Amino acid sequence: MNPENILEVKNLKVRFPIHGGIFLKKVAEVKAVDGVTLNLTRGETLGLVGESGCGKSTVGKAIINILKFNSPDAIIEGEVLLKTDEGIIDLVKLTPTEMRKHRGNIQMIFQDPYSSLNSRLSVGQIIEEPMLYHTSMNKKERLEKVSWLLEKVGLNPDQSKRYPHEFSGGQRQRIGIARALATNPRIIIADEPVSALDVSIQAQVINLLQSLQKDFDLSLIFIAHDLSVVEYISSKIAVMYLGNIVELGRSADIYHKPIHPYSKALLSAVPLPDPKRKGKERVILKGDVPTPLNKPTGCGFRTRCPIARDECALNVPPLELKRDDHFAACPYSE
Amino acid sequence: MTSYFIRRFLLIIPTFLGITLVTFLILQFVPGGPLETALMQMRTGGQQGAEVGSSGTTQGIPQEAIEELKRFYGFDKPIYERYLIWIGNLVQLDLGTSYKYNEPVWDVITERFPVSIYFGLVGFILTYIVCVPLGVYKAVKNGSAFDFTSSALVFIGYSIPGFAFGAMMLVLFGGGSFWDVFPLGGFRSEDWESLSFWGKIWDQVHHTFLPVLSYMIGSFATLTILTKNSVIENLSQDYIRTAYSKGLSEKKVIFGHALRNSLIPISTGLGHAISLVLAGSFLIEKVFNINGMGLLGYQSILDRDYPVVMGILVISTLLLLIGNILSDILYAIVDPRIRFK
Repeated sequence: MNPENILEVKNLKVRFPIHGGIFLKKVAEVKAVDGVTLNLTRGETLGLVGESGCGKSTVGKAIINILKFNSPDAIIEGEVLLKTDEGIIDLVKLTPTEMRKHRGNIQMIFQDPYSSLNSRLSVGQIIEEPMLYHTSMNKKERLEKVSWLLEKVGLNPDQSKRYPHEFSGGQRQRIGIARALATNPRIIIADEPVSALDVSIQAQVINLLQSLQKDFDLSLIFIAHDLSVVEYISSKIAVMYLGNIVELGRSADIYHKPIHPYSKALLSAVPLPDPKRKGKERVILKGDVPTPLNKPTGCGFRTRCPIARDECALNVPPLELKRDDHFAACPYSE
Repeated sequence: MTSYFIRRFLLIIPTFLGITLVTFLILQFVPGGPLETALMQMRTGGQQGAEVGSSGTTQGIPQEAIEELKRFYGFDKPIYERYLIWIGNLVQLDLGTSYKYNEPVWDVITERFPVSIYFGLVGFILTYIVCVPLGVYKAVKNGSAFDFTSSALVFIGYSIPGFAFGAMMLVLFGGGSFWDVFPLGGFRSEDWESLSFWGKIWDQVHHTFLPVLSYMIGSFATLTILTKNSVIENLSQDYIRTAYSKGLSEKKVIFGHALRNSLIPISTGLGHAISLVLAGSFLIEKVFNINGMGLLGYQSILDRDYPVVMGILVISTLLLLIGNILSDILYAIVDPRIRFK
């Protein structure tokens, strides 16, 4: 493991078997994540972008080893190496009980601030609960920390007795953030944390995440489909398509000089809030995203790619270094 | 919230008046009332008297006697007046006197209370103790052989009428042709008073087992499946994933988060526990020869013992209406999202 990295994901694969027929035999397999490799250094923000269903949320959930609770059949392969005080740990290999000890180090902010908070617990209880398992604080210290955290995320500490339904969407996401921070994590995976919020609130929550990142010395994986949001917050961006990373590089490089034909199409679809700039060429892709049940052989993107050749069907193109710190998984594009 | 519940309590009054008025009217028009019964008795009594004594007495009953009877039962007044008198007495907590037992209705009913409360409460508590954990376990092990077998069992229980099950149990375990495990019925043994402390308890349990099982067998399915479905639904919610990501153990997640929310539909049924004092099915009480409220209600309808019928109706109506409000209060207590205005 590279000493600069705090998290290394190596060749992560997630498959969901599909059962059918009278005897519920395995009839097919969804390859939701098909060999993803990522590094996260301390204090940086990695943006993970892609269309709906490309596997970006699954990557996040696989990293924190939480997929099995909703999909017990999921098959997870590869390595997720986390640097902790006790050395380097491969999270994929941990049993749920072993994983519990390390959950304090790596937390997730969930997409839907409405359903992801238990409506029967008060906000104070929601934030306090992780401290019960990951710290040895007494009741008084815990309550002090709850108040402190609420203040940190811009809520009134007096509101800790209230219940989630008494808050607005933006406030609820702040509660979700305070909850994630309660265990002093090193890494936070934010799974589309602002997609359920309206635009003015999105900006507030993102600014909050950025300032908290500095205060708490956090490394962030920011999963989103909204490219402008990702560009704003990320130092590095990974573009995903059909379970693979097709391009990886510094935020500005990807945004202004994309290499992979998919990234080019994706970025040309970003609406610009400027009526005068109409000159930008729009790359329109043909067809739909193939289903991950039946992925094309070789390069997953070749069925829609404007520069596809016959050779693309042979092998899955690896991520290769194209420019300074800028990788793309296409041998024919510059 | 307080004003909401005060309003709800005030609404009991018109509902209660409506229910009792309708029942009162229906009862008055049913043939075979106490007047007819008394006249019939007098007629047969008169005949016997005529045979014993010499000839000459009339076959018919003198008009004054009939008037006297009417006055005794209160039938000399128009029906609305009778209802108003009845309500007036009720307000003074006087339920009248039973025609059959010649005792105050209140005494007749309270005599049966302990038996009914005992069976009602034991059945109720046992149902919750068995069904809620069973439902949770079935939800966690959804689709397993255990889940399938237990579902089959509770549904078989659901489809057997309690009294038929009771009769079958008596045939099998009542000491007839098969096994002599349980007594044939009754609330306690006749020599109960002379038993030792543990002997009393054992005797009571011995007499309770089969009737309570018959009472409960039908309610197992509802509560078990309700709990199971509720827990399964809650286990797939997003906040369960949040709870796991906090690093909670599976036990904590199931009992602290999923069950807590699943209890919302379950706990509201608790409000109706109050009407359990009148629970009891006359058929089961008949099968097991238990002198409870079910049997009393059934008998008093057959005997046209109107004061007792109305007395039971008053108590059960009030308990049901109050139980409904209690359920709503419980809703507001267990679910912070629910606030009544």
